[in-house]
Amino acid sequence: MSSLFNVLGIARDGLMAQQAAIDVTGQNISNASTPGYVRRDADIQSRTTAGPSQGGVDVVGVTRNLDVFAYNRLIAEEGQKGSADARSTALQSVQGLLGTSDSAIGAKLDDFYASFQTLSATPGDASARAAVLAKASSLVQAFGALSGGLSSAQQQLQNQAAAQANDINSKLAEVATLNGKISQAKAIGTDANDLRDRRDVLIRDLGAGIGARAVEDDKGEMTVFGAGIALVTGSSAASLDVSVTASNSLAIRATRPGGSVVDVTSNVVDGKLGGIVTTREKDIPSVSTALDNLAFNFANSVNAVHQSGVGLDGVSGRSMFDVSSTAQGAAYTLRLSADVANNPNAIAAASTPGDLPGGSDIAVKLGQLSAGKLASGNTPSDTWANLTNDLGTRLASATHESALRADTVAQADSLNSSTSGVSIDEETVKLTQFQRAFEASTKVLQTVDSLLQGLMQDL
Amino acid sequence: MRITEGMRSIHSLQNMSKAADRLDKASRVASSGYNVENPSDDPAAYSSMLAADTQLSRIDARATVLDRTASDLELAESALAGGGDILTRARELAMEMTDGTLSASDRANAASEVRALKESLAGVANTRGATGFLFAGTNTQTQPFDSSGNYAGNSSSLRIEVGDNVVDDASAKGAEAFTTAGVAGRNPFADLETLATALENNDVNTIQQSLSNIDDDQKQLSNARSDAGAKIDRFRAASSYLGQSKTTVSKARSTAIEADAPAAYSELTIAQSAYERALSVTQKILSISTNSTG
Repeated sequence: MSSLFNVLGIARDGLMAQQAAIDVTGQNISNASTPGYVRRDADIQSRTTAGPSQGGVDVVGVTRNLDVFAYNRLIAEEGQKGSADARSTALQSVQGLLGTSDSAIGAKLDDFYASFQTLSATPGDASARAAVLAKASSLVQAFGALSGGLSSAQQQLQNQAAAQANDINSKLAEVATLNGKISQAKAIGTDANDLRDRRDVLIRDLGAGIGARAVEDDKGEMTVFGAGIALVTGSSAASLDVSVTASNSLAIRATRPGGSVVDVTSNVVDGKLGGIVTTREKDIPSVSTALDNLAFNFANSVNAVHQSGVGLDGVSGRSMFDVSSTAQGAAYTLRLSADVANNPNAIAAASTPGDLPGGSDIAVKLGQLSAGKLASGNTPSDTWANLTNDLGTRLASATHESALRADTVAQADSLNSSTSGVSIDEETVKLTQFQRAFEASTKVLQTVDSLLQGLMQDL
Repeated sequence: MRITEGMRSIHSLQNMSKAADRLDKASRVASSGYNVENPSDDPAAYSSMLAADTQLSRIDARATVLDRTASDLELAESALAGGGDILTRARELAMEMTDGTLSASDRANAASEVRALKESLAGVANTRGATGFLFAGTNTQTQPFDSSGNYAGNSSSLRIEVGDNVVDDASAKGAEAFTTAGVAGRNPFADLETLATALENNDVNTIQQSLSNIDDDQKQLSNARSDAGAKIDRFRAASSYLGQSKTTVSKARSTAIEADAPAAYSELTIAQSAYERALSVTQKILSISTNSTG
């Protein structure tokens, strides 16, 4: 049995419900461009319970429109993109170390051999000898500069990795804190949507930082997996530590909430940290090993021929270069030998003292080394070309990967935004709709009021 | 599908960044003229360019060596021709002096001319080129002949690379022209000295014998001269072949890394208009959003 007072209650419910809906719409509109904001809907339901306000309306909650599948895909794509971006940026600067084609080691090798060819025409000529020394020392410098540049690039990447790990640690800790707050809020039934927004932003950042996957449990706590372990469980988080081993490799260790430490280096492949690790541990060592081998084989091949010749002073058995006994580090330690440095007459052009000073067969042989094979089975310039090719291919594939991932991230972001993003048009329509409903409820209130007034005057 | 402002801006940003990237690449290619500037632009093409650079460097160095050596040999050839002329004059003199009507004093006068010729011949044999003394073998920094024709040089030779793995002697054959190491086993200085002495001594028989000796000397010089001439031909031919190779290799290098100008400019135009389109579309999309709220 309905009464006018009952209708007053229904009208009041309507006013309150529309006001709440307008409030949510207002939040949506004002947060339309807030990063990580997920569109809310006011859940308006008619009251079904029997009682005085039966038939009224109630706001039972606020729904956060997140498509978990789309969001997880976005996080995964961010991981891939982070890795490719970091790798392509780092390799770009490594490529810069090679120098342009006319100033790189390849060109200096060519110049060095050409200087011996030129010397073969005028073996006694002081200026041709000085030219050989100049080219040789410029080549030695180029080897040292590139090798040093590669080491300092590795050092920089190590610093970046440490900074990145710190950033990840603070985000993991924040996610853990938010987990605690959200599960509390859920237990006492308050709205934790803003906390969830913040947590989702952090998890997306973690995806880009180290590659993450997140699963929410029924308490509302998010377990974050990454680097092969659970980085956040409930309200406790692991922390990462970057160090360098005795053999100059990067080691990333995770300290888990219980205090146990686990080495996760080999599992860090995604995210910016993964890209940094790949570049430092795979890409740069591949280039620097090739460079060391080139320097080592090159210097030994030149020395072998040079030792068989005699300088203008008739002395034989001198080396052109001082080179380390093994290939490791050879590029950085390569030097002109003390015998020939500053002593152009010590350069061997002739094979026997009897041919001095016009004998040139050793100079010819040294010039011919340019087309001869090194111990590695390739000519010096082919070895250099292979080195640049290796680096170029690595950088090109990282750059393509980065462009591809930018597309897939944009696609995943857009798919995610399709559900969780705010559409101003939609919100404007809703705003009008709720406004009209509010006005209508006011009208009901007025009508009931005037009915009651009439009743009271007439009776 | 539900379309939100966020999606629109993601798409416009993505498209704008792609268009900007394309424009950046197109303008770099068009302004530099190169498709490939860094290994990562096209690793295979970059490797071909490096291989071509090495070949070009070898070709240039070898051409320099060939040309420098050939010009020294040309000098040697003309010196040997001059030496031949000197010997011809000496032979003419000797021929004249066999005439029975001439007096001892005539012959004594001729002797001083022969001595002068001998000195000229020593001058010729001590000719210097860019590499030093041309007829000294490899002992290029020491004057090979003293005034009496003693040889301080050797029979070794400068060696140069003429082709891939082809190394050739590149010195003029001084020892074979001017010493008894020659084909006829004669020393022209000694022969001229003998002639001069015979003239002074008024010894017609010895003068007559000198004729055939001087013939042999001339043969030695002319052998050395034709050897030098043959080397010049060979080196010049090798150098001109290198010129052709250089053209071929340079062309291959260009093909590997240089941009086709019309293609580069049309790509630039297309990239530019694509970028402008992306900008104007973004502008429209943004204005839709602002209008709808206002």
